[in-house]
Amino acid sequence: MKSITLLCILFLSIDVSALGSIKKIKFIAKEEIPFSAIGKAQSYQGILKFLDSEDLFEYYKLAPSRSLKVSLDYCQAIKAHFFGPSELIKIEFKNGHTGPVCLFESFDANKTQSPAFKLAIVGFINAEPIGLIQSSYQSFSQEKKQEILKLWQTLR
Amino acid sequence: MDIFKVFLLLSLFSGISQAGMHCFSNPKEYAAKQTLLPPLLNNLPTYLVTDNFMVKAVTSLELKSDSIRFFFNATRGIEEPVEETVRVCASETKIEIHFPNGSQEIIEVRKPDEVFVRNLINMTKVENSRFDKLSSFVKNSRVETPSAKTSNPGKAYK
Repeated sequence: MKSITLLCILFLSIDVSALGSIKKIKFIAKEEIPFSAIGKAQSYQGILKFLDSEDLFEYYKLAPSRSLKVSLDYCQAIKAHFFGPSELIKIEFKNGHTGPVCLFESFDANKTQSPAFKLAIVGFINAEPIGLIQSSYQSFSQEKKQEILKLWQTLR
Repeated sequence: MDIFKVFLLLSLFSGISQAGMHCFSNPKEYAAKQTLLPPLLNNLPTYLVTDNFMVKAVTSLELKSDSIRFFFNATRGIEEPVEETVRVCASETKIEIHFPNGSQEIIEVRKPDEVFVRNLINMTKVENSRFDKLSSFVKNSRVETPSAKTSNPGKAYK
């Protein structure tokens, strides 16, 4: 049983490290930051840091999808997977380098000790659906969303 | 023992375990279950801490006007505090924290005033003042992450 677990972990780490970027990135697996997984969706893998821009994202490896393109239905399902049946969150579609991506922002006014705003970007990289979430104490401006989209476009 | 008896015993134990769980997701439900809950939860808010040379961590469960609020923060092993509205199910031996996205955290109750979190740390029930003091220490001791710096420039991190 232990060897199966070890194999799974090895497979996971190989799989996760397969995600690259033309920018310098650092991936910190959830096993290294075990408390960070509390309250997060099962697909959470760890933290992705862009070293040049100092941006930091939660990294999610999503369940395979029949289609290799994000759709409104797919993004709504992922929204619930990340944040639960929350209030209406506007979903925006943008063009990424590997097809369309969707962005959606959640807000929890009750948060007093942690960032209340979260922006998710979901799309396909290497034909695999992935999601990144960034947290902030303030709402994400269109400029910031554009910056995040640019970082997404560096992923390979 | 034949297989039928094994199934009978398993279902009996499972029935006892289910019967021992009491769930609540708002103050009204909590009031109805309060006396049935383990000592750790029968008088919310509950504050728990870990304070050793390896890690300092704080967690709380509080009643809000129409919800139950969970909070967790630590000096290590986490990038930002967890703060969510939750549903709680509890028995004498475990506490389940159910998050809105369907994920859950199962916490083992070891003593009437102590739990074991993530198979890593023991957390002990404390008074509000002790929680506040350590919570403030944890917040200020966390290593500043780049995103925290860029997204919250007005916040003081040490």
